[in-house]
Amino acid sequence: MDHVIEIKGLRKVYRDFWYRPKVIAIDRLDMEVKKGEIFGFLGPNGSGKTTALKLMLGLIFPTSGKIRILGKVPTDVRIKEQIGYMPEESYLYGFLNADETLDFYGKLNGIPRARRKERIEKVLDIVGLKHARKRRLSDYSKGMSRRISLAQVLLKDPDLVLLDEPTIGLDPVVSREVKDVILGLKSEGKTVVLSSHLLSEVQTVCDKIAILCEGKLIKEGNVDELLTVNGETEIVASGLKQEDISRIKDVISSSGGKFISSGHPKETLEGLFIKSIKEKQESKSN
Amino acid sequence: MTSKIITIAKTTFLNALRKRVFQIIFIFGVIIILSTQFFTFFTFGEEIKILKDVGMAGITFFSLIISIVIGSSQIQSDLEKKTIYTVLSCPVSRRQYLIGKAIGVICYVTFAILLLSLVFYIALSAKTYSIEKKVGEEARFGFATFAYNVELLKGIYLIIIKGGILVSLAILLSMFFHQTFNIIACFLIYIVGHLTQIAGNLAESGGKVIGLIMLGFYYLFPNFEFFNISDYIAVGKIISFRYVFTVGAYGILYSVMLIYIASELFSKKEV
Ligand SMILES: Nc1ncnc2c1ncn2[C@@H]1O[C@H](COP(=O)(O)OP(=O)(O)O)[C@@H](O)[C@H]1O
Ligand SMILES: [Mg+2]
Repeated sequence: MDHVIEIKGLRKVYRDFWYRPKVIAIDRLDMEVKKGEIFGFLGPNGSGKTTALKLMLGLIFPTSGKIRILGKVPTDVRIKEQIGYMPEESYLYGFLNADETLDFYGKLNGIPRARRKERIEKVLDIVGLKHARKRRLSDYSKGMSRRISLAQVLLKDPDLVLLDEPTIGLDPVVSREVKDVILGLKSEGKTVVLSSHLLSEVQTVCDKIAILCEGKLIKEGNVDELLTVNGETEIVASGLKQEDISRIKDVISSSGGKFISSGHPKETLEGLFIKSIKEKQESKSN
Repeated sequence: MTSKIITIAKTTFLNALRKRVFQIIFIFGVIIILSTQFFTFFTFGEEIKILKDVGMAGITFFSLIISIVIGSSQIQSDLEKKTIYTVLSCPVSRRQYLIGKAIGVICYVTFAILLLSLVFYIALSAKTYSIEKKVGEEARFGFATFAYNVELLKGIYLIIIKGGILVSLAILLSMFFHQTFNIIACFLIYIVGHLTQIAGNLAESGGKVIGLIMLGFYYLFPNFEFFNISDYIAVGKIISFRYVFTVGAYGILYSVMLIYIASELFSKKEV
């Protein structure tokens, strides 16, 4: 089995109360995800990303077409041991605290008691909720809710992770931590499918992307390949003086090229923000 | 397999226990039952009879409300808050989920009825004690003849079974309706369920068409009148064990059937 996800000719039509077609949410979708890939669904709101993920989990059913997840149909309960899902917006039981919540999901996943305890410690550490483990989830902030939701996914140590808009509505620090968790999953060889409409986010973590629009796949491929501007070359150097730059310009024109621009590379705003926050927190803890 | 059902049932039970309806109705029930302590304007026999009547009616009413409200809310809130997404992405079948929910709510209703019955029994005993003391008999706390106690247990058992039917009904209807509509529908069916005996009689005496409709009606709707034995208990009649057993079995079968239909529907439901 080389493909973790295989989708052929998938169509999903939402119907209204009288069974009349209302929305074509997914239209003739073909796609494959290989083991170990980080696959990003990109698309504007309402383009069918959530629908596609719910179809893969068997929460809703295709109107036509074929889906194979880990070689089985999505409604097969056995594959759920290897799949983790973080919905876009979902509330876990508010009256349970983090420990009880993870114990509940651990039991539902059939994880034996001793291993459950061990896993709970580990994932609380990963998502940084150890300090709030005895607090009821109804008192959690949005960021903390997302963390516990992510913990629930990591708990079962799944081979395939489906994340719906994992960083939507989070501040850049938490959002960065979530991205780090995703990269951690990649390094462990897990397969991750995530959806997002935040382009920079997809660019930094995904290997492959599919762009959805009105339920149709309009572009698919490797992030690096798609974004490489062929026919242009970028040179980054340090310690150059103004006259060196004019000499380089001469070299370029004498070898038949065309000089386009030069300047100082900019840090991303996200990088700057994270760095400043980190510095502040470190100076406080010292 | 069963351990997952138990996990879901346990969480459902705890969740229901924290709902405010429970506290409100429970306190309300306790007040009604305790207030009967202050009826003194009846003669000796009547006073006790009123207490028994009011107490059992209170428990019946309480169980009705709580079964319908909690039964209609438990799955609905998982659907609305989308908790169901994370639960069903675990290796738990939809049938296991639904059965776990039903068991959790039924345990909760049973627990609530038993608790209220205990309050009722203590109130009854206290009342009897004070009356016996007044009339100068040899007073003993914890009254009630053995025979009455047995009848009371039969009555409570049937109230619990009836609660089970209502919970199953509310769960089945939550496959289609939101909570408000579900509650209204359950109440209507509850009322209709007390009329099925009349439908049964009409089926025998009425014309062909009416008779057939009434017959369908008679078999389709639960017959809640079967479970209503508190009037008999209050006047000291004895209900046979055979009756209690048969009606209990009827109620359990009816509930199992409703849960079965609900789980079939749920396995095809988009969440
Ligand atoms: N349960 C539903 N019933 C009817 N239409 C729906 C339902 N869920 C989503 N849709 C519609 O399907 C389309 C795709 O929605 P969705 O998959 O949520 O998009 P995205 O996640 O990309 O924002 C939208 O037009 C949305 O309105
Ligand atoms: Mg979405």
